[in-house]
Amino acid sequence: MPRELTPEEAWEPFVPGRDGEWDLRRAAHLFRRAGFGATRSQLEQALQSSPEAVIDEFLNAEEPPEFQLEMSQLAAAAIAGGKVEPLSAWWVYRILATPCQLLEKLTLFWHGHFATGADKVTDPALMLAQNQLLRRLAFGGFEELVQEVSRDPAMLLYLDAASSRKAHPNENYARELMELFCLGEGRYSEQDIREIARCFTGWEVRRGEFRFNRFQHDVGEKRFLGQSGVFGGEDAVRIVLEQPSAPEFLTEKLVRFFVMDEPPRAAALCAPLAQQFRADGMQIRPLLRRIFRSRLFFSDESPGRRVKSPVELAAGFLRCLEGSANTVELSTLLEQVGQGLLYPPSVKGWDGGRSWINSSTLLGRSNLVRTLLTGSAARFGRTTLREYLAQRQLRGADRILEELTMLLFAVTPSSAVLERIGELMRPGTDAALAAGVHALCTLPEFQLA
Amino acid sequence: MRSVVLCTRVCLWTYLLVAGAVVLPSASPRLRAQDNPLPEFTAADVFPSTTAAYVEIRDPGQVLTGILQHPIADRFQQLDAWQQALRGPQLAGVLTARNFLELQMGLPWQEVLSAVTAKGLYFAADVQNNSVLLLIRGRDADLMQEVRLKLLELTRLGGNEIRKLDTYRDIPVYRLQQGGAAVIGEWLAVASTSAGGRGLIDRMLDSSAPSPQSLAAVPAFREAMSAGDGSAAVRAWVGVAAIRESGRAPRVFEGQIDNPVGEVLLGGLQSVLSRTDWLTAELRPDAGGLGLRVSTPFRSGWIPETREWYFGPDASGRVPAVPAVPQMLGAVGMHRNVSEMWLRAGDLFSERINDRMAEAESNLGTIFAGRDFGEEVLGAFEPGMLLIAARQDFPESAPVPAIRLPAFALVLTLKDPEVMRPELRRIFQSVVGFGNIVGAQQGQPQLELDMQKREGVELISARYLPPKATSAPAPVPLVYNFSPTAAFQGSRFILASSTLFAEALLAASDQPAEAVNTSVNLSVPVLREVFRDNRDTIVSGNMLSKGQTREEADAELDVLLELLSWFHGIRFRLTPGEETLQLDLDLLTAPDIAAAVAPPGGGSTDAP
Repeated sequence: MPRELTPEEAWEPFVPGRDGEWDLRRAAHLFRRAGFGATRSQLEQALQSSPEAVIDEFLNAEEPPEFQLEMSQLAAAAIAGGKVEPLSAWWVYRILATPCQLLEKLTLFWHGHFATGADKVTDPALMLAQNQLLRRLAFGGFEELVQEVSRDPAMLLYLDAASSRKAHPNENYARELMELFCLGEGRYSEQDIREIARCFTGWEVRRGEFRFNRFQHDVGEKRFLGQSGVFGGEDAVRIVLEQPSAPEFLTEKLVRFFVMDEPPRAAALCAPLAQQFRADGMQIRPLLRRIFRSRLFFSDESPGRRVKSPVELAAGFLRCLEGSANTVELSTLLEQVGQGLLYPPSVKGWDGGRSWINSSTLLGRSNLVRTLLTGSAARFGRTTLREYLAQRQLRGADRILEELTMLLFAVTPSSAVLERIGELMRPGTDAALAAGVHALCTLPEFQLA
Repeated sequence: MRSVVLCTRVCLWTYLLVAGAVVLPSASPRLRAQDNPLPEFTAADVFPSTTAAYVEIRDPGQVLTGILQHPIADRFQQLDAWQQALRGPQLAGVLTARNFLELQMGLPWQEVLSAVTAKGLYFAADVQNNSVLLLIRGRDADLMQEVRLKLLELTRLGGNEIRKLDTYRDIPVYRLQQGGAAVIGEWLAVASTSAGGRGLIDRMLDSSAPSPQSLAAVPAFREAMSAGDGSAAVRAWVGVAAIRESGRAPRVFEGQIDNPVGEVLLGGLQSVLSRTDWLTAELRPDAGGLGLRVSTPFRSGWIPETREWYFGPDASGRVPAVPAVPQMLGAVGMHRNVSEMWLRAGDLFSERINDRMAEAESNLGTIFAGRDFGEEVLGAFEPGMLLIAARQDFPESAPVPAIRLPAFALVLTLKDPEVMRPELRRIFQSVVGFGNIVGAQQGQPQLELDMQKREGVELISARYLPPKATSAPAPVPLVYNFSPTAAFQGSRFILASSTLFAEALLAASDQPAEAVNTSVNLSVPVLREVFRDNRDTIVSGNMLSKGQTREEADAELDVLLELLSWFHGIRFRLTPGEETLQLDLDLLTAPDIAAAVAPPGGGSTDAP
């Protein structure tokens, strides 16, 4: 917990002036966390509004119909060949193009939360359907989301629930429902798992769709989590979410994702949020509104307290500089550095935080940035990086570095380091500029969000 | 100031590339035409006898004019993409260079280029001395002198001044990035090595008497070049014997191809290359397009018995007649006795490949009920075979896949239809059944068999059962491009990817048979239609792989479709004659373009 703020104070609204200025640095922080990043013009536009208004825009933004249609067509083409890899590239493209950054970021969060791997599911249509489900329900009620995910064919196949029959209930989904999706470890018993598994018997997948097979459903009485009755799968989800630990589990996970990787005394810090989350009927949007508006979020305790995931690193770099890339190649590179979209490492999803960084991924991240800078499809504002910067009157190494650190960095590198990078960029050629920006984006500070 | 220097550098190098030379250095005053004219000689008189490859363009100016005045060039310049490129940064340097050149020379660049290369451009690769030589013969020595002076000035302004390397027999020689160059009279000589350059200058200065050390004295060269009428825009000669004897690329001449597909495509040609002394190539643009003909001496006796299957006995094998089906995308016709090739695998392939073929034969034995694959299965067909592809139509009631692949078919002739028809029918049914079992394990759609018999025709087809309707519409999978079909019509056997295409082949009349060993045809208009059928998929693919917006990807595809609309087809023929083997490759322009080029009553626009 931050030294100056009690848990109650931490989630009080940030008041510009009293708690600090609403400036470029804080606006960039908001865009990095609630989205992937922003251009200078987007940041300047944000400063014309209040933080509350900008946050509400993140929370309430709706994708224009033409964008939705475009993405639907692109997704249909991506899955037409029957392979999942193009769908992964499609999602990267969507992340780079979406006008609703928080929606996409939250979809990414849910993908890690309800992790489902295409290496096992293999059917791109099912992976797409799940992706659309997570996006559609991203801001709504958590219970509705869990209920829908429990019926999702991709999830049922991934956790072998589709073959759960009353004679042999499969316990995978019941276990993960409590351990990974709703409650966390140590908040249930093995007996609870066995009984909940019985609730989900007969939940099958036929021709890519959910089907309830009443002949394979265990209609007997079940006893778990202090309740008993002739429960079905929907009842199991409801009863699990009624547990006191459910809102605590999810709020803490959201705080780690959006505010800081390692919150001090997390349970106590998140308690006020969890109480409100329960009071709001476990609605996601109000919870996020309180998190993003909070004094803690805009305090000095939050910037630089998260390690960028590979997707955040790549998408942030490109979105801040209006970049575009070969998304097929980029999705492969993301997988190489540990975050293949639609290919989470296990049902636990990605651990995040410090686990993103090791000697192998650090080198991979460096190569990733180089590809974004020099790849065959690398463009910035549909032109070269040098031309893009020149169009914005950014000439000279010092001026360019000043702008890039403001846009891309949560923690400003030391002036000595920037001076050395500036020397790399002095020749002014495309190659020198790329070398300088590459060096800048391999700094430890760049790995932080 | 800096931009001026950079621009000048671009100007210089662009001009040098356009001129086809890296530099035009000084001519010695005593060698200038008006002072002491050189004796008349041809490029072949001064290229060395060890030349392995020779190319001549007798009138580059005419070639350039032909290109620039061609309707395709005109249409190209009208493309939006080209107009945008002209305004973009990529071509700015080239355009500045062109303008600078024209300003300096006081002539349009086309005229400069035509004058500098007025009497030809000649290239030689000396395989023995590892040297590459280039000769450009200008209109006259004075012009070359003027060009030299302008270029030296340009290089000086650009900060890349050409430096004099040496003087050889009073001829100043200038250093290039690799090798050197000199102007001698109306000739510009460029060599990649100093030894090659000295030899070239020697022969040029001493050319009053024919040199036995020159390319012109090589019998194989004289024989080859005397065969042509000299009307080709570009002629080339390759001294195959010289390359062979130099020990280079031994696998090309002697080794095994060691790949069954490569052997089917190139096996016979390798045997020819191991015996022939030379080959020539001629490039001929005309109203109908662009034709490349490669010719080489040929004797059927050169083909060893192990490869008789390629050209047939006495090289008499010919491709079957190609059925004229609508929307035909392309056809490959070959005479290849693959049964004999399979049986002679021990002589043609390495042990590793033979092991694989034995393994394949063992596996295929399950399907072919223990019949010997090489002798009894492949041997049941005549050597002539056709692989045909066509744009695919789908029945109204059938699901249309999201990606529409062309239909294709293998057309073969049975030696004994009465014996093989029931065998092939049973094999086809077995394969479909086996495919259903494997597909069911993987959750794939299932095939349903059907059989039709009508007058003289038997058709066994399989179609995928239509997908069940789901609440969320999903793209129709790729497999719905296929309705595998086997058809029998007399001795003809057709194995097609779709029933409709098999029906089309059965109904088609044959085009006139050609007396060639191998033929390949590609219809560009149909290819264009195939692209249009899959427009969404291609555009989406480009959006993902190039990070483009839909507008950008659409525009890029439109440019490709526009480019394709200028062409009618590509045609390849391999023709063994009694003494010559010919390979013809033709790029055919679209009829409207051909008509715009051709004089009234001239030109050809044969369908590919």
